[in-house]
Amino acid sequence: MMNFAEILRSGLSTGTILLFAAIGEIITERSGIQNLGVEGMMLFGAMAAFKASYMTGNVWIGLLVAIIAGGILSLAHALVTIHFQADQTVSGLSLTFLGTGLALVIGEGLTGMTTATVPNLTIPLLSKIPFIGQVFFSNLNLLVYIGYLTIPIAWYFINKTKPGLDMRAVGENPAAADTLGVNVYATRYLYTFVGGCMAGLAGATISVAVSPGWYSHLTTSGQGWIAVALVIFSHWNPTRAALGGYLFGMLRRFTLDLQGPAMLLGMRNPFFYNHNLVFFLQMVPYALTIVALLWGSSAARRKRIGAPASLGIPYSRGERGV
Amino acid sequence: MSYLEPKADSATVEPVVELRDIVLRFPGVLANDHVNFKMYPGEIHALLGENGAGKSSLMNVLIGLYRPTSGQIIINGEAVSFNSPKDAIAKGVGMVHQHFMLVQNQTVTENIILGLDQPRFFLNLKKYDEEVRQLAESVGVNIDPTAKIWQLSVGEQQRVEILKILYRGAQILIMDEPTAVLAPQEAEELMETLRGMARQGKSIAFISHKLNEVRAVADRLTILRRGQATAEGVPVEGMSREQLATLMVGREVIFNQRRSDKEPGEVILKLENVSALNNKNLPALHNINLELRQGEILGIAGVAGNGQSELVECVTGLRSCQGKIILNGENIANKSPRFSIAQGLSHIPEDRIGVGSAPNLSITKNVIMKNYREKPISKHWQLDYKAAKTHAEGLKSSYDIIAPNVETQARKLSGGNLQKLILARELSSVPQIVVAMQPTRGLDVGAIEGVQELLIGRRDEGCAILLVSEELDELMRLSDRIAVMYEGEIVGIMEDEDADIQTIGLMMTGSLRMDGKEDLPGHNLLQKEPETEAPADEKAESQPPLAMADPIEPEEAPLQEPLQTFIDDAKTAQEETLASEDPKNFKQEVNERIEKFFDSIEEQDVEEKPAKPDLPERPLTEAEEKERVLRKVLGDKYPEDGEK
Amino acid sequence: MSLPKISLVRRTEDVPKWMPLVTTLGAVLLAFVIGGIILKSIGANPFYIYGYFFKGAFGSLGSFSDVMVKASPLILIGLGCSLAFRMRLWNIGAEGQFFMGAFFASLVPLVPLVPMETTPKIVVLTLMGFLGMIGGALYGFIPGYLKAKFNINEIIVTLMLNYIVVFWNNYWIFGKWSDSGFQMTKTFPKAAWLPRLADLAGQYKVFSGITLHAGVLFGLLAALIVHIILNNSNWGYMINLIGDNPRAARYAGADIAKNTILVFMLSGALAGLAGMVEVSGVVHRLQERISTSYGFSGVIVAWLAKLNPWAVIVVSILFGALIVASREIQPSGISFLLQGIILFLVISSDVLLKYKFQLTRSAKVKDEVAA
Repeated sequence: MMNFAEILRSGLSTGTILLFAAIGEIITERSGIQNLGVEGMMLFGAMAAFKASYMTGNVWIGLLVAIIAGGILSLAHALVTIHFQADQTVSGLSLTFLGTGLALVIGEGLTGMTTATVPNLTIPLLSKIPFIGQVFFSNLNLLVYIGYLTIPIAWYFINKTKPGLDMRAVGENPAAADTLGVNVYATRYLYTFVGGCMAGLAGATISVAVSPGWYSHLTTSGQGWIAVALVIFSHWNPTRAALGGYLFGMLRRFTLDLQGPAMLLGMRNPFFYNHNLVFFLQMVPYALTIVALLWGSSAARRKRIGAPASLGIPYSRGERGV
Repeated sequence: MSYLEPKADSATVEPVVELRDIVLRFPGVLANDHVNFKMYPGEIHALLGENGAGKSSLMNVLIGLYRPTSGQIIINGEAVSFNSPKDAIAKGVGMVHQHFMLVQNQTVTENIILGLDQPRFFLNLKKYDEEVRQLAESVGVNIDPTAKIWQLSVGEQQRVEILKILYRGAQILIMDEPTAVLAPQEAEELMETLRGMARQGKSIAFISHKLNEVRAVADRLTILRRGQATAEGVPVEGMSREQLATLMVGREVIFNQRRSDKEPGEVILKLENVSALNNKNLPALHNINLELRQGEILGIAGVAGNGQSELVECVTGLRSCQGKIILNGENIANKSPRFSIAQGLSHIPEDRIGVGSAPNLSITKNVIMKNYREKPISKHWQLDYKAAKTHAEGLKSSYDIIAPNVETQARKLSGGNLQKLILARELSSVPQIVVAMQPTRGLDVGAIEGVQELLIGRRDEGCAILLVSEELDELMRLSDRIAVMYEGEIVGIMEDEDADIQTIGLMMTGSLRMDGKEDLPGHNLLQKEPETEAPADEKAESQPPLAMADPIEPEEAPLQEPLQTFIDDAKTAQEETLASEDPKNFKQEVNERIEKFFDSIEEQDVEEKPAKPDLPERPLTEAEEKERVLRKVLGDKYPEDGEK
Repeated sequence: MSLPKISLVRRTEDVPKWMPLVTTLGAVLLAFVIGGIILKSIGANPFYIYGYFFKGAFGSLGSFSDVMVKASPLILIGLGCSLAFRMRLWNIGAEGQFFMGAFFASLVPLVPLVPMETTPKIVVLTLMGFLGMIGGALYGFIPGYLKAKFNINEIIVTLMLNYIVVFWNNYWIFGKWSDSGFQMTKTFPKAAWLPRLADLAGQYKVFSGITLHAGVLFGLLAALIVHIILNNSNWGYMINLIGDNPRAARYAGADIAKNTILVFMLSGALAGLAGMVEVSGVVHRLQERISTSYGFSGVIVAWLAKLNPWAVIVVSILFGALIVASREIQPSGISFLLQGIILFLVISSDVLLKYKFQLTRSAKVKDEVAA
């Protein structure tokens, strides 16, 4: 029978990937820029972490390179959308292609290699708590714990600090912020960069931490897009996004587990006896994403919550109206 | 008489702000052409001009939003150069924009401290809430710092904007068309606040295109026309309305009535118990009943935001509603715009860029937006662009749309020409009914007259026109009947000859209702005991506007009593008239009361005296008509001895 | 003192007609340069590789035919995407609609829906074509409907659907239809093969081995139809209007929901037809890897062609050349990378059409104190 604790732990691990990417994109979008290139930045980060770690033998350098790589890629998007005022959707898509292409080319030949990975850790005192300690604090990757910390830090920053206030104002009403002396351009550049760095970190989490290895584009296989969907579904709230990420992680593990045992709930396990049915299980995360979007949109209409008001709209000072 | 040099006596005091020889050039436009502007401490200086004259641009230079192409900015004797609004704020200059720059889903305090260096990192809102509260009290403004902006009324939001700049230590305040969104009585409140701040030594620049307002509150004037100053720092005293208007537009402005002399025809549009929600899912329209007849212009008056937009959207099929909207016998409520368009309904929208046109498409493609499926422009599924082009060229010349050719993209057209394009499209189809919302907003005087003539022309041909406008002058000039909207309801409908600005103004602020409904909470303010001191946590709109709450200076107190009496009188009049069931009489009564009231005010020698309303007893000639309107508007400043 | 600054200033006049073409070509050239730099950095020789591109793509009749084979699905997908993009519907699901079309088309020979021995070829192929379009249209209906009814982001929906259909196809490929347990179906009977020039090898020796198939004709025909729709029809006018300003379209009485669904379905149908073309004209079976990311390349093609149907044909041929040539070279992801760089640079270069660079000197401040 499937082990709930194991599913939970697996969910925490793989969910951390989605958490980093989603929270990063939330920060970018709260400042008013939509960066759909998350998948590309993640793949690029995954490749960069793996390659750098492989070449230097030092996984921490790999992490650093991944973070910077994601950030630099996002700056290209920032330049085009903030200064050149290009359409943010198209630019984000082109960034996906760009990031994926770079990852595939520069990552050539890495498939099948191994490299050092970020170690697992057990937190001393907390791991002694019955059940919770074993699930949440024992023998999990360091990045998972960093993921835990990221949630309150992100929430606090966005809602309870002055820079967070300025950022939110830039996302809601950039003209208002501009007339009060907030530098709209610089703010958006900064938070796009932060989002890119976190996407790179998310990619690194895959390739050198949670699911080590480089498998060309299969490394991310769409998780970047699920992260973008999570941003919408969570109403731009980091805590909800993280929870959604963990749930998706658990789902992945669950569908994997369903394939294993010969007997399921006292009946013949169809997935065990007909391996081809496994494909339907693999569809589930993607189908569920669509369902989540549906559910999120109707909830939003009920509660009258929406995206940051100026999301996707380029800002330019002093546009003379007709 | 030269208007370009201020009198010698002002040279003894140093100007607090001087804009010297400012030239501001944009691609293709010379916004400011060697303009000079000076302000002294404690004065209210009005900047007057039509739309597009360059007033906002000039002030945007002063607040650091635009860099002048040449010229100097001198503040307190020191030449300064602003790289951004932050620099201007640092020098004590602040602007309250016409379109508020507020973040809707953040609180008052959060909006006020936005962009400041303090607090550095951690947000301790409680401390700042307290500071904002104290600041508000010190200038007599009533506001809850923890309220979110979307919860506040328009007048309150404006006060937040004022607090925003005061908090930053502004000594120089610029108000950009501040009364555009306020009812006459709210505007009066604002004037009081401004006068109070001027008395505290602040200098206030007041941008407006409304002559009466300017004459009511300003000390000195600067008038801009097409980027140049036609009057610089001229004292307001002694300038007649005609002189000002001429300086503004360069030619005589005619105030004549254009009411139709024909009898209106059949009822073509009928609204029955129409209710609707606005975009925030709050009630915007409440049981609207309205009739529109052929050959008449029905004007809808009201402060922006009282349901006019929603009303227009319901009639034109862009918003769902309850109730019935019957056009030519068909109920068009909740049906797509296609239905009403097919029934001959034309719609001139409020937002000509966002709704009325497709910016990147050519004039041709814009003009055929509604009739592209008809012959000869279309044959079955095919679109004949040649025929469309010919059609467009015809309209371009007959409506005098100025553009290189019909392939020009719509976004390149100026406001006036874009409006002409929209009118060409909407009126050339010979509609049965036209719904026009703010058709002359943002246009210069020539264009405004053109638009109004077109509408009148259609009306005279039998078209029914529903005209929504924020310009009372325009409504009174064109409408055969005027309905006033307040908080989503029609609070009064009058034939134009019975309408006067005071009554309409009272209705617009909910102080007066013609339908005699007395049981709706918060609506009939004549019922409530007027409060002289409003409790701190009550929203502004529930205060009777006529009771001056939170007086800034003790000198204002004496006004309270006569107002009280007036309110009691009006209340009595209403009760009496309702008993007699004669609405027309009611108006007469009210007018008499108003006259009495203002007479009594006169005896107390108060500064401000609005015109005495008078009802003509016989049909007037045009000259008399003109005189009557001038009298009404100018009040006691109307030159009695025949000098014009 | 003041320093001159370079700033971007909005243009007031229109740019000359040749400018968009020049900026696009410039962007493509720059992309090749940057690609070359990246190749150098990983140890490959860019000149050799680029030289190989041209030789490989256009060197012989055989390789040119290969280019056209690769271009055929691109044309169809590019057309479908440009139609959707005109209405600002971001159909990134062309890849999924392609696969779904391939699946539906494969039903004909694999079920089989009609007796393969006796039915004439023309009937089989027509049926497959229709089914391919239906499959793509159905798969396009889903995001269209969700967007029209619930305003759900179509980018995410279409991307998720891309992944889902691959698993769906795999179920059939690995299972019921598998060719002796291999990861592909049995080869289609000859009746289900699109005719190719090689069929005429008996009469014209030169055509032997040429794989150019009739699918390219579908592409050309589709381009004509799309052109007529966009430029000559009522519907095309409405599509352009909705794409330019949906609020104005609604105000003018347009039914945006209906048009959203229709355009998405048509866009999907074209991609689905491309799927049919690929399984019927090239691989002659249904297998997991039938697309070298045609779906995504098609998106890029549409954008580069600035949504013009005839330019789509030209760009598709160029991209086909890119794909063919990069078959032989390492690293294999280079064509995808180049496509990504090209798209990115073209978007960036579009800025030059709206803005121009200007040297501005900051206003000198006079230091005299006011008199």
